[in-house]
Amino acid sequence: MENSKVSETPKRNIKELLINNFAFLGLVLVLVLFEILTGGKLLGQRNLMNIFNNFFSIALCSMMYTFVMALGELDLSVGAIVGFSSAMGAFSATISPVLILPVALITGLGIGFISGFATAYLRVESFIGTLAVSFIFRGLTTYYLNGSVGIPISMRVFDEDWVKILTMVIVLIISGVLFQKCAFGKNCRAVGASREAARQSGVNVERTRMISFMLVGLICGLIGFFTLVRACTASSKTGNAFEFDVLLAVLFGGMPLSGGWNVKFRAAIIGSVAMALLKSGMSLVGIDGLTQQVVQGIILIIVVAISFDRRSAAVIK
Amino acid sequence: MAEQEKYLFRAEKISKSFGTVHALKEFDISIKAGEIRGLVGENGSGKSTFSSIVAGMQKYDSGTMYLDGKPYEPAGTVDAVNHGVSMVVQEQGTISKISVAANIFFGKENKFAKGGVLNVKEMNKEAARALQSIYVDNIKPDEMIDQLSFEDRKLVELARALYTSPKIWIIDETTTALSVSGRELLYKLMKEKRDEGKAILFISHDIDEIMDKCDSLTVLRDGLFVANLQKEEFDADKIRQLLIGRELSGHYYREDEGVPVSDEVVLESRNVTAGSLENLTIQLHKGEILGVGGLSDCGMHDVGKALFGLLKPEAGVVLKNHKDCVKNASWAVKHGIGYVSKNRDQESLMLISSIADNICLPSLKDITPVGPISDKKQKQLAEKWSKRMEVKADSIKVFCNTLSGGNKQKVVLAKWLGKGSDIMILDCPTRGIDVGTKAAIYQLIMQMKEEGKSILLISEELQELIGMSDRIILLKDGAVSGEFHRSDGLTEAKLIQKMI
Amino acid sequence: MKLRRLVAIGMTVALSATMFSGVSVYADNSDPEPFKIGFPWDTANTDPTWISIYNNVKASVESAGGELVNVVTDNSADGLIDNISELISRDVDGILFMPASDSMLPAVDAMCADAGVYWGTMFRTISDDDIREAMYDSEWYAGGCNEDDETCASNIVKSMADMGVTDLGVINIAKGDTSSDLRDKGAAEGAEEAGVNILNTTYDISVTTDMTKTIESYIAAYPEMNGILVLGTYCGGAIPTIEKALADHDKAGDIKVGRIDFETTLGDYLKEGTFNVSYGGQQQIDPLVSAVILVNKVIGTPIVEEGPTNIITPYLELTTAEEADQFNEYFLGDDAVYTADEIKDKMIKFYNPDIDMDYMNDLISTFSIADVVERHSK
Repeated sequence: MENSKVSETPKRNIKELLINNFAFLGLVLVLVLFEILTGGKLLGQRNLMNIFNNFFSIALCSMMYTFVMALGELDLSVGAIVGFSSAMGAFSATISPVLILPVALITGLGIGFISGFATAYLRVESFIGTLAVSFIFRGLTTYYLNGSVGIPISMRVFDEDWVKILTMVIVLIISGVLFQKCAFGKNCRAVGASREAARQSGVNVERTRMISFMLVGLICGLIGFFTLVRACTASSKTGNAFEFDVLLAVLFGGMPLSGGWNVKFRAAIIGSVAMALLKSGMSLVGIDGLTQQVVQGIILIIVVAISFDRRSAAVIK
Repeated sequence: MAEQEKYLFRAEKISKSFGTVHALKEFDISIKAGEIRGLVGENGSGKSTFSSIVAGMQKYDSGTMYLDGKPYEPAGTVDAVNHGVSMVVQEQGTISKISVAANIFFGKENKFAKGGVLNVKEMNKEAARALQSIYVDNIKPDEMIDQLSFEDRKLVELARALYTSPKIWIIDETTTALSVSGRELLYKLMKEKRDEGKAILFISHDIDEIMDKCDSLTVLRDGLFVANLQKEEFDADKIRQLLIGRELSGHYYREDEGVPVSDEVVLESRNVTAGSLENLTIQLHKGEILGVGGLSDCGMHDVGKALFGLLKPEAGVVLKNHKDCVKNASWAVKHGIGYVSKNRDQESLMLISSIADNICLPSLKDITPVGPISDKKQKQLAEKWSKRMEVKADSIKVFCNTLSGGNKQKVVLAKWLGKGSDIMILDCPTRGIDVGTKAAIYQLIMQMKEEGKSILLISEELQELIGMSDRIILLKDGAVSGEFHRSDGLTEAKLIQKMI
Repeated sequence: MKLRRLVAIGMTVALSATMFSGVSVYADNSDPEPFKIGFPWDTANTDPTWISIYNNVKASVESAGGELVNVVTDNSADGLIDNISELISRDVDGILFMPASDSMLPAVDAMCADAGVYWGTMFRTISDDDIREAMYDSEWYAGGCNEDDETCASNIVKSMADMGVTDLGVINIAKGDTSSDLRDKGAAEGAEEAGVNILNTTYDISVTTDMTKTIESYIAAYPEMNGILVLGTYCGGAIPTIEKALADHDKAGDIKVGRIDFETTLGDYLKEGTFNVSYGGQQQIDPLVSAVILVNKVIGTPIVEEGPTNIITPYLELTTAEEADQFNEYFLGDDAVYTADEIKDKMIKFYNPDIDMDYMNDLISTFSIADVVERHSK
């Protein structure tokens, strides 16, 4: 028995390789399928920018979400954070448009702090805690915004493609290196793998969890800013259902809900790209909204079923 | 033919490999009716692989098995049970969230079903009978299994295994989970079944236990048959040699006596009240092996937790070098304290993680203090200490849940060696570990002492404490009840006096 | 071989002729240039009204030979901005949408101006003065329809007062929504004129459970309440939910119920006398005419030469079960309230140069349930 899992036969190797890379294979499949169905329009130059716009917010958030996923936690407040920080940004614009970005970032960071504190120190399940935070800030957004608030149209200069691409690259590098290479990212995965073992190996478990939620908050503040300058208006519906888009993306990418060392950074990228391609592809082909929802639901079940980690299940017994 | 009939069970040339690792190589064994056969081997020697093959839990690559002279090839565990082969395993084998009776008759509920409705009353009655037949009367059949202690759950497993009156009963490392009375019951049942003419395959790490309870034994090493011994040939040293395949260098424990220990105190608790500890003051000196023992509920495990900062003292302080307060585990690790938990799989190791990730975790900031950490240096660190501890695995990328208990413990120790901690708190470091690894751990402890490191050795085994410690502190009800020095000519009896 | 070459030459000639002659080729033609209208709409919503809106827009676009391009939307400001950017990349010539707020419009206009795409709105007016001024100056804003929300709300309150309602519980769409705010204002005016006391207003109910809770808390908190008015809601099946809650508390019939915007179930409750009055019916004519305005602009024959075209659609009144049944059949059926052919004849300036603002207003004023029944019954 002790040796039973040490190594695999070649046949199992191929199977495992497929399972490990199923998200990437899925991405290629989606790409090829819709490229054919749309007669090459999917990757046409004009649509690429569209896909990027679809991808932008979700990918930004997914990258930071990786830290929370590695911990084996969920954050259901991301949509509310985007909404509230964009509302705060819009209010600050009445004083000076220069304030929009810092205010949005600080608001996001602050809400992340609340989620993190509740989860790490008050020991509230992250699922419940962030849901509660989400309710609170959705409520506050609706209450304070009283509909919608606009900002000067001149702020649209930040909606330029190059600004967004640059932002994406910077966030990608920072979060990628932080997750893959730095002690913090490794600590997150360690806590997800075994909270107690991580603690006893010197990881400050509470601080690690708290910072992860704050990172998500911060990036949501940034997303709030970009959402705001894109529409030049903050409304009570801003960021609506964003939490599900992000969750869907990371699950599409093959991140296990159980956290730990099987959480891969590339899953955030693959998942967001796949989501953006899928959405854009279905829209181009002219699939109606109802069918789109059904398709997404079916894919989600398949993906989660495949990415369910049997090895961890075997340990639980 | 005549030869075959003499034996109740025979296995010929059973081989099983997992990839490149041969777990069993042409293994032969024959067991007579009315025999208790011991099966010993180090972790990873293939004994559990063999027992799980017999119990139908996994397939074998080649070879033949005979039961009652007829070829036996179990299709699965249910098939094995139908053929009269039952097994009790090392890990927990009960199914939670259902009743005791449902556990005993799991998979056999049809017996009590009438037209699709389960006759629970009848099932409970039968379960009570099954429990009585193994002399257990304190467990109620309708109780939920989760309300039982670990030991009682093991007893339920025994009832389940024996209810089918198996011809062959395999007991895999079960005794470590049982208390003295539980063990006595198990031994009694083993004898009873032997006298009924059944065959028993008994697997244990405890050589004394094997020698005491078995009629004969088979030694396995690296998947190969090594020797068969009859009761009259039993000899502990000889068995140990057969197990390891070489002569144990000198003795198991350290031999030196009266070695002076420095007066310098490196870690101490001052009037600490925490968990089950009451106003505890103990001091660990530089280069000392300090043993901590007592009865299992005396609070000795909390001593380790408190000194490592895992338990926050309600009163008193834990100090390092007389001045620095140990704030929490994170602080402790940073300041050179290592800790090996009694619950290795839950607290000391990340199981679904590679050996390398486990070894490097506490040392990440040492490798590169700020910014991206060098992959190469991580690999070097992991490889160095994994090699130094002789962890048996194909590579350092192997996940720890695939390792044997002894190898897992080696990874844990490699982690702290890599960190270079100079104070080690070891809570039952040799628990459930094979002889070879045990010897290696003792050697390592000695070596650390020689390097001037300080070791707090918490152990439930008095022999281990006597054999290894410079000084022993015994606890009772969370307070110090006795202190002995190595030079005192210690015996177990002397210690026990202070424990109860 | 020869044939193929011949065809190729023919095609080349035709193509170059088209290129050189530009619009003139079509000017001689009897149909406008093919065009595409983008329409962000939530096609996942199966509410009959939602579907009918889509059908009416489609009829308008196809009346002049255009193609309707749908993208799925959540009708939120940032969602619509994304939708519009996607539609622009898909080469549409005009975009019709239901604005989520005034403040999003400058961004829409900037995007459309950059891309050279016309845009039009439906169901909404622009209440913010600065934004309205800026948008009306834009050459890319085609205009759109809106309802006279204020008058409608004022009148329905008065109408309920005539039925004996003195104390009114109100339900409305989210605050900040242009229609919602105007209806609030109108209701307040109507209430003051008719001496009705507005007890409370609850906003932004989107699911039936919340609707039930709201009604139950109204009943509990205001025993004097004798009327419930839904000024607007995005909650599906609002009236059946309210009726159920009232029936559960033995209040059905005692409390008069009114609603702005029709829904399919009104007939049954009107018959039973537990529902009393509904103003609405613009959900079909508004998007239809809004699309007509945009289509006319896109094909180069705008209804109004200078600035955007703005048409106010009148509301219809529904007080009998028979009207309700006719509404269900002719407004929420598969057909638009004007078929594509009727639109082509009556509302596309390309075919009918006489069309102008007065013409349109006259046409719209004749629009009623009876009118649609007459045109579409066989």
